[in-house]
Amino acid sequence: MVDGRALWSIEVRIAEKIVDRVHSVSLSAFLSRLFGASLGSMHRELGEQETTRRRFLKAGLAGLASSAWADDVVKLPFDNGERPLVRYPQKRPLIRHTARPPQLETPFSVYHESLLTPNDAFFVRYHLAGSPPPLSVLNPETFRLQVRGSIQTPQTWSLETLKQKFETVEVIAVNQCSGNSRGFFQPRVPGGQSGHGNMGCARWRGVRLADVLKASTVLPQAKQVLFDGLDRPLVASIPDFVKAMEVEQALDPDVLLAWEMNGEPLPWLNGYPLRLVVPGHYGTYWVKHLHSIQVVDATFTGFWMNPAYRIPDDPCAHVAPGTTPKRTVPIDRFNVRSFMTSHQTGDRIQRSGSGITLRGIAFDGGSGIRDVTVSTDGGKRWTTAQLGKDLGRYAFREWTLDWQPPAEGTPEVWVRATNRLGQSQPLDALWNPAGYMRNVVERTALSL
Amino acid sequence: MKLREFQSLVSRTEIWGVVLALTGVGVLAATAIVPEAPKANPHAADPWVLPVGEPALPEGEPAAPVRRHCALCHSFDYIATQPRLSRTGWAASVEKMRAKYGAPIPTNDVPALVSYLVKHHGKE
Repeated sequence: MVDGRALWSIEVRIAEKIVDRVHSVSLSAFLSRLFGASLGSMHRELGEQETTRRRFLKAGLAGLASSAWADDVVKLPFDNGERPLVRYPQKRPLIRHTARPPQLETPFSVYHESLLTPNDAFFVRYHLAGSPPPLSVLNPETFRLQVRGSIQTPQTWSLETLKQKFETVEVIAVNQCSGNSRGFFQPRVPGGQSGHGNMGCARWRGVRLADVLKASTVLPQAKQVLFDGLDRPLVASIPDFVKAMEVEQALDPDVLLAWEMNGEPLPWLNGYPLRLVVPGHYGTYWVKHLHSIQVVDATFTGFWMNPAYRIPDDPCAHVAPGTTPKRTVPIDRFNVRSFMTSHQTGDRIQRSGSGITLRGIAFDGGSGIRDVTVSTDGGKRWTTAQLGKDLGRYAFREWTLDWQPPAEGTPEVWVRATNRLGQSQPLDALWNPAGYMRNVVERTALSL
Repeated sequence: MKLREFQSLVSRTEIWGVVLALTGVGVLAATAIVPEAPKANPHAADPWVLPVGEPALPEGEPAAPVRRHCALCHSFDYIATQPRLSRTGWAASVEKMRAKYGAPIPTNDVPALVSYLVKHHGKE
């Protein structure tokens, strides 16, 4: 087997050429896809097409790793965790959970490359069959954002007028899916079975939602603000993806309408041309392709606020495993999490004169990380790690610790962060039926 | 634009020309599912084209229940990547899709669909 990484760029070119040729024979698959959804008869054909294409790619690449589209398979460390690595527009090969609508996870090694997650590796999570929205409705020249409802002055903004009228601001913030790490829940729960890669930290640039709302003058009786993106269901009975926020939260100056991510326009699959950025809050609120803001006088009860995306009404958002919560509330801020990124379970380490450096990341819902501690003896003693540069209270915080491994055994590294409110992570995992907010102390077993 | 990219763009545009000509009235349906004729993304080298095709059902697994009740909203991997759910678990998932999410699944078809899911993707 040739080392795939060294040949990556060459392979991409070869694979893309092959894919181009395959496209020309896959017309029937295209047609099936166009009509299939409405006629409900495309699945078998598409499946066959995919298999044929994979065989073709396999043959064409003569066993080279990391093809441009879909050939590599990764195994996430839970039952039924095999997933293909697939390359989407503007993306490097990502862990594909689902094809339509796309759910793509960041390979965990990316978090060791840099504190800011590159755009081409940032995770993707959609809900509705009409996702991502087609290019025609995302044209930045014709795109419009509507502001209406319980306000004095309804407004329609183009991207250009938003940029001209309001102050441009930036924030470095983590976006994390509510169900990040759901695949590790025990007992298992239904939903997107993701590993730890449905999170990312980026520099977001845009205008304050508060400024835009104030320009319309929110009326005193207003209760919530609703956000709708251009992704949509294909049949009328399916609820559109609409999210709600209390007015006070919407007026928080940290909440942005962003068009830029890490110095580039938002990638298509991350909300181009405009998305909501709600630092410290789960990704479900970060509405992509945002085109409508509506201020309302009552609590919104649409599907995506109720029953979806709700957690037990309990300070730790948990119930006894296998039970149903009595009362639920909408999911809100991140709890505290920390990970080691320098080493993964199964890695072989060696004793050396100065020891080895462990490194990782920590983040929380916006108070900022106060400390990160590490235990290598099963939680008896905890050593404080050194914190890296502070990129802001919503960002990944780097930690490092120099450590001399023991002479023998299979050491397990435990990492636990505490935020500035004193909140930390549990040693035993908490459970809830939707598989949200996992934040147990992560353990990485190494070998000598 | 590099020659390779240009050739790639041309070949894809041709394909889409044929697709649109053949589909005629299907154009509206097309925009709902896939982006239209690929154009160069002004901000990146990649054209805005999603990967073609969807994961296949395993050999011998009947496609009819998935086609009829699930494929309108999502690809097969939404089912295949789930943990092995119990009959109660799959029944709850189907009920969530039907009653809360609004998937057009006739009530009469629910028992057969649940049995199919338990048989191929569940545990008894």
